[in-house]
Amino acid sequence: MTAQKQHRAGGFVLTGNHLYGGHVIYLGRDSRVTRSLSEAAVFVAAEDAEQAFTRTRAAEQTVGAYAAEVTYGDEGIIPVSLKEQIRQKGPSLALPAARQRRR
Amino acid sequence: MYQYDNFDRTYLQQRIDEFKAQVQRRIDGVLSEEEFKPLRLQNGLYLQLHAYMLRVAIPYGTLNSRQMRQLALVAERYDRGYGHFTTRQNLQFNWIKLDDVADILSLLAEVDMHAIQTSGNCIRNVTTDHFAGAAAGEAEDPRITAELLRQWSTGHPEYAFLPRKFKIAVSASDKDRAVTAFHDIGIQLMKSPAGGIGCRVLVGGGLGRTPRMGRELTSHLPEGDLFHYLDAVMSVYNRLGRRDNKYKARIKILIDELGIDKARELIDTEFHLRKDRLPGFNRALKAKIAADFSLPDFSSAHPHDLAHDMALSPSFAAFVRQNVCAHKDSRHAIVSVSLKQHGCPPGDATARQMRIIADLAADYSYDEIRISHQQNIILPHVPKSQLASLFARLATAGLATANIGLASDIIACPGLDYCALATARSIPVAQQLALRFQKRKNEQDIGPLQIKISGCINACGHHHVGHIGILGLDRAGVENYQITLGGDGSEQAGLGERTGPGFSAGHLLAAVDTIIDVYLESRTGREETFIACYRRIGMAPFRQALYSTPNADADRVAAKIAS
Amino acid sequence: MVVITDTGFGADNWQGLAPVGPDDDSFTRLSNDELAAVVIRLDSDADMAPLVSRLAVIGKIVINFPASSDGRGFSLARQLRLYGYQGRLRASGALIPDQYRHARQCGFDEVAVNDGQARRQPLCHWTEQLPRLRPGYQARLFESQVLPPS
Repeated sequence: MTAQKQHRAGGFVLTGNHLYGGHVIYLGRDSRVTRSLSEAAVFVAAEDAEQAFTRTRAAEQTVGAYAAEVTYGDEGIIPVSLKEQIRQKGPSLALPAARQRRR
Repeated sequence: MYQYDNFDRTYLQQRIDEFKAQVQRRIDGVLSEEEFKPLRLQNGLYLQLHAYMLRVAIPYGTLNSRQMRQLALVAERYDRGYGHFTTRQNLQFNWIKLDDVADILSLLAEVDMHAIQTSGNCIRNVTTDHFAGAAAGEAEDPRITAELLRQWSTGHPEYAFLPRKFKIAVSASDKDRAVTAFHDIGIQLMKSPAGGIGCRVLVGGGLGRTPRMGRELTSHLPEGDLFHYLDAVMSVYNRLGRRDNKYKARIKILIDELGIDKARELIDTEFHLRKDRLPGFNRALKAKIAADFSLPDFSSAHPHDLAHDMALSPSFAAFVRQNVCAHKDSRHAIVSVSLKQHGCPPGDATARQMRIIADLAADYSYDEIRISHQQNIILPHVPKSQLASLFARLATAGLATANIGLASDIIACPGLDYCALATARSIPVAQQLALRFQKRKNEQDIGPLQIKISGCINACGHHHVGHIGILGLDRAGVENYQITLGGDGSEQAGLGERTGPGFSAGHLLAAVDTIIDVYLESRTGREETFIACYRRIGMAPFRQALYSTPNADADRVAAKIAS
Repeated sequence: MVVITDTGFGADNWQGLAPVGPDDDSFTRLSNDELAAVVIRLDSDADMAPLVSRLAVIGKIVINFPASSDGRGFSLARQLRLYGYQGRLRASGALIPDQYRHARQCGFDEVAVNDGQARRQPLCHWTEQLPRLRPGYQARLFESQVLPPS
């Protein structure tokens, strides 16, 4: 499940949920929030990510912000924990609506 | 069903207006997230992994077709076309935006529904027997007391900021279908020898990190004293319950620390203070509510022998045997509609399915629907003469899965696929297990078996009271599943015992197979159920089979795959 | 310090009165006349037992709320009223406007917040709460929710 052994060392991204939309967001390299992990700023240490975040206006739009560990793989930035992988990609099961459409 | 009056409707509208203003103040920065969070939680709004989640109350699990259609509309308009029925008879929408919540609450209020107190550190939506009013042998319909409890607890100024959440369940039957022993307060209603209704009150039951069975506070309380008594319990809990540690804040820990005798003494003092100083219970309100819950007019139904219908169709016969229960009126039956189609997430229903259920309730069940804590749907009053017709329509809609009470009728919390608290996934485990039973066609042979899965220690999937309980944990970043055996949430309540070390996701299915194989080999005959067999033979044979050799787990997986 | 009542924001007219706790040595030494004049301070974990016998002569009580999520003070207030306290009752500390209803319905007469809170949550947010003071569901459950005279 976890990828930390197979890949080179990574770092930390700052993530949380959007205040209005509730969707997953990351602190981007341009200091704005982004929905795409590939655009997220990667920091060496968790504290760096948290400090950089509090200095941005992104903080006002974010709920429950925290630093999450990431690594680099073939697809770019990859979350280390299963929870963060699910937050990034959505539930690991087929959604009922999707099943219905396929029929 | 309870009929909303102007007071109820005005109250709902006020709460919606209040919430709109709170959202605006949050957006304006007047309220911090820390201040806003308890307010949104008391309106049923969580922030989960992917979005906000709105938990809609279905008080005591009862709703009508109009309400069900409105839930379908919300699912389509504001969610992704489905909802999730929970183990507390609620419905959760998983993909909600904060900006939409006030509009959703307005749509719900149109049909006398809401999301009030489905979350937060307050008295939560009250649950009861999903067969209430339909099953024989009840002291009275427990929904009458449940509705009184809803009114007593809704917006109660003293109990909106408790140490922790507070769950109450009511039952009025010898058969405990409401798991009353595992609630902060469990109320068991019974007929008083002297006439009227009496209440047995249990306190401090619960699952989670520290599972406890409810302890008896009083064996017999006159119903007119119930609310002063509950006020006394709440006052003691609110003042003395621990607030220093989230995991020790439930009333079960306070009862542990005080001891039940000391707790009873404190509560009795508070109770008598109220009884002496405050006005008595409003019996006229109860009479009005009781009238709302009187049975539908059954006069058009006539006796019907199902044997002929069953002889004509083996699939109908199987459905009747598994999903249909006796009604207290011999012309009717109680029908359970399984939301556990093999391979589907337990408790999920699409908007289309909700509308089909609504249509069927209107056509076959006097417009009444129930949600069970087992995450299934009940049509409580179906004339026997129309059962075959109902079955045909359920089958056409793919809703005739005949597995109620069987191994694939699995309870599962949303788990790590949705929930911010979860440590492991639970829905995929339930899906894989159900598909496996379907493939092996052994469910009927196994007989009654309750498998319950939680994705974290908080135990929303009730794993402690599963005959087979599965608890998903995070072990160094990898999902790991502990198994408990012998739990029971019924009137023979008991907590499951852990088999031993947990299993990886890859080995879990084989471990469940092993447990079932031990049962099938050990039972005295088909009439000895899994739980009865477990009680007779104990944990040892199961443990032996699960952990007998160092590589038993891996070997068994290889063998099972090969078979 | 700003004191909020149903009529709006006001100044703190208890300023200068040193609060006394029921556990303080001085509490037991106070005469009835003195008790009527001082402010009794209750923390949220207070034991009410030493107070009960003297509630009839006490004139001012303030209950402290350490956090807006901590509702112990609501039960304390209700208990004081149940035991027959008829003096002034103030909630002080971390309450937000949304809790004004809870405070009033549990028996408080007023809420005191610091100047910073009052600036962040100005009067309009508190007056918005006034229509919510109407009796709620609980009033329907009992024959009448009014306390009998003690």
